[in-house]
Amino acid sequence: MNRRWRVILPFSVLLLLVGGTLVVHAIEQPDPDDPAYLSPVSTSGTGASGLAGLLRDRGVTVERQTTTAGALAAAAGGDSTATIFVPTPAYAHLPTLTEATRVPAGTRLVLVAPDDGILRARRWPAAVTRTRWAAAPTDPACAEPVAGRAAVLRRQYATDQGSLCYDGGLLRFSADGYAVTLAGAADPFRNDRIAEHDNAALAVGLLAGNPRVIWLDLHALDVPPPPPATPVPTRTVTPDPTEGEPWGDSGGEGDGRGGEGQGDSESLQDSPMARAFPPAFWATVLLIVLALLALAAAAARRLGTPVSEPLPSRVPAHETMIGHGRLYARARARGPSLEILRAAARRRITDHLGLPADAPTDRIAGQAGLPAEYVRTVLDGDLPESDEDLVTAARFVQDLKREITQRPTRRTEGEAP
Amino acid sequence: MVTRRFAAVLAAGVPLPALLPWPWLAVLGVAGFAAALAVFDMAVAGPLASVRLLRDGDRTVWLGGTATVRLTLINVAKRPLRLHVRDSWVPSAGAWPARHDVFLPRGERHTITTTLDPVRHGDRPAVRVTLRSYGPLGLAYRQRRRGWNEKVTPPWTLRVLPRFPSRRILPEKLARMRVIDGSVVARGRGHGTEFDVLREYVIGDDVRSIDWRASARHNDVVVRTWRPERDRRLVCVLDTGRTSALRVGNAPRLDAAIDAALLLAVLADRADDRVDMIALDSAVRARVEGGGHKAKVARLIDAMASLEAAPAETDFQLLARELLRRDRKRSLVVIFTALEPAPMIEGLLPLLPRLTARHKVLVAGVRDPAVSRLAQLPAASAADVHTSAAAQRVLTERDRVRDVLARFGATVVDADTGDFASRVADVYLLLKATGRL
Repeated sequence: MNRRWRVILPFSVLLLLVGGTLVVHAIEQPDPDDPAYLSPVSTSGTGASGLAGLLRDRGVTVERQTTTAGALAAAAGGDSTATIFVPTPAYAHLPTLTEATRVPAGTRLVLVAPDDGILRARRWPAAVTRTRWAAAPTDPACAEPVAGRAAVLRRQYATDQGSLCYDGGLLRFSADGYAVTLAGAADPFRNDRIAEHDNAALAVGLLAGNPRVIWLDLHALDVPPPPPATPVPTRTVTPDPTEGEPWGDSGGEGDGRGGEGQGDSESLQDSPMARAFPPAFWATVLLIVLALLALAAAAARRLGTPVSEPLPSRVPAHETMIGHGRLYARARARGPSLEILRAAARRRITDHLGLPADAPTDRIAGQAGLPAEYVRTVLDGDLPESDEDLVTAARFVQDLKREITQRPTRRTEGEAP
Repeated sequence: MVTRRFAAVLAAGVPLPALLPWPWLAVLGVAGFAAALAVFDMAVAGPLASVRLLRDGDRTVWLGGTATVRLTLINVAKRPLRLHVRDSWVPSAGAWPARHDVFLPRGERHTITTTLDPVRHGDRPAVRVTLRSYGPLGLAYRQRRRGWNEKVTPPWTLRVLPRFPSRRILPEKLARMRVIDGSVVARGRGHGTEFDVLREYVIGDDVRSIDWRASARHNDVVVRTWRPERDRRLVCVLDTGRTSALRVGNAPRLDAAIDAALLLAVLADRADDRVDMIALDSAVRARVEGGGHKAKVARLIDAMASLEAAPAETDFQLLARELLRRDRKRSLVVIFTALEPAPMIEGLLPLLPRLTARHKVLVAGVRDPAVSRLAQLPAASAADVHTSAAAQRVLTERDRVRDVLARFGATVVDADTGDFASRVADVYLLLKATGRL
């Protein structure tokens, strides 16, 4: 139990931290579903009534629209050019806006943080390169700055035409008859952040270019009414046969949300995979899977779990000694190693010859009846320069020790090898 | 739970969906049929709660020997039982076979035998008997949770006595003991310093042992006979600390110490000496004191069986406190340990003068034969020379420890595992023969 907790506890703490952070982050994120989100009439933190007020102060007319078609009609009608502000591009029916040919020239379209799918569906020359955890304030760093430092960099865009500001946080280009502006974050427009940095100047600068702002205040998916939804003949692009085919090219991701559910259930039954094999095949596969599952279940339960017990130590008694030897080898301590061997041999020899332990080498040689030169070379010789020298010297020491201690008769003969 | 046979029933139905006109119904039918059979089988399988378990068999075994423990199963249910039984012991008990297949008609009993080849000394408990009851079709079985199986398991513990390889040199040592004792005529009278008895002179007796004063009182020549001291005290101290946990050859150093201690205990027991035992590391692990002569060796063996080396530093202060108790008479204290510099110099040495003042102290260190072997390594490469130097360093340090201990009045035995027990016994016999106990 104790051991199990020791494993579970750190992981659960870590999981709690990560999970808690994610949850807090998710809660802190403004929700586009919320009717207050970037609404010109909402005074809450995520609303944008402050921005609307600033615009009105500048003499810009703010018209709030709640359908895409209404926004388009408002932009097409009226007596002056307009800026269509879309705070929730995921909910707006953008084809209605962009495929219309009725808007007057000079109409601007400002979208807040559209994702990659929307950009691809529109075939706009822009792409999302990165999405940050939160909006970061950056300097404009572009040719025609709208405002100073502002927190607009959350989605970072890249493009091959048009102009980028704020390190990719603001992208302007023209497409489908509009001057399109993509703002990477909702922060500059929100009531609670508009006062930070130069956010207010940026938001007002983006929207006050034309005398009118058509504010598309959408908080649910905007399904176009049937009559405007049949402008198929007006589509001058090829009538796409793969549009209704779910297995075809995933071309219309942003605009086909309404019909997706129906398409899926039909497609499962007459998918090519399902049509290729008869039901008997699938039934047989299911039965084989069941049999294999039963086999796994039969093998899963053991006749009693294994028993554990504490084991005795597996450490050999001379482990430290082996470690010392390896350390000497690693450090190439040839001198100290040979000195140890010589000292041990000298002790053994003096012990054998009955001499005091600190007897000089010449006396050892004399007592052993060996040439003093030889004994001196072996016991007091130079320290080895290379590994070969070390091996040779060690062998000499060992031979000398054996010679003196194991063959006492040689002493009397007094012969050197 | 289902068996492999259940999976086989499902597999047998695999062709049916292809052959019958309604494949999905066929799948449902096959799965339903198999499931119904399995449920029936599980329902009629004999109930596990109606098995009674009894155990009997060996309680002790020498390490290296084989023990058998029998498990009797009694069916008290009204239905027959088809059982798979697993008698689980700790792994070091070496229990086999792992599984028994038993068919038990109602009211019958059946005995299964578990054979145990233990690999370590000490207490080896039976942990759990797991029961699994199959239905008559063999498609499904009943098995309860681990906790239930552990509850119904009859407890049993096999005490594995330590290996005693020195048994083979015991006759030789006993023969030498008898020579010392004088019960075998080797040369003249028995050795010893304790006066035994006066008896009549017979030709062959040493004339120096004639007691003239007694001869004058009698009308005959009378000699004195001597015998070795009896009822001397011997304390075997087993160090179960970290230095004893290390492996010498293939077994912990403690095993060699136990072997030597056993030999010494048997010898001393035959020589009518009193043997006590203390095993300690950071605390006293076992203690055998007092009691009659007859059961002493058995008690010692029993106590040594359960000894295990602990990864703790040995507290020699504790030992001194034990040995310097006021009621403890002068004894031969044999400390079985390892002659490692740190525990000896820092632990034992400061206490040695006090110990030797009261007792005769013998420090017996088990040597690792690998160290001596590596020190004599044929120097084939530089790595060999370095290893050899490291080994020489260890040997030098040990020699120094030995010298220091000897200077402080302890007798030191430092021997390889092979003849360690023999060397310790020799020292004891020498002390006995010269009356220095």
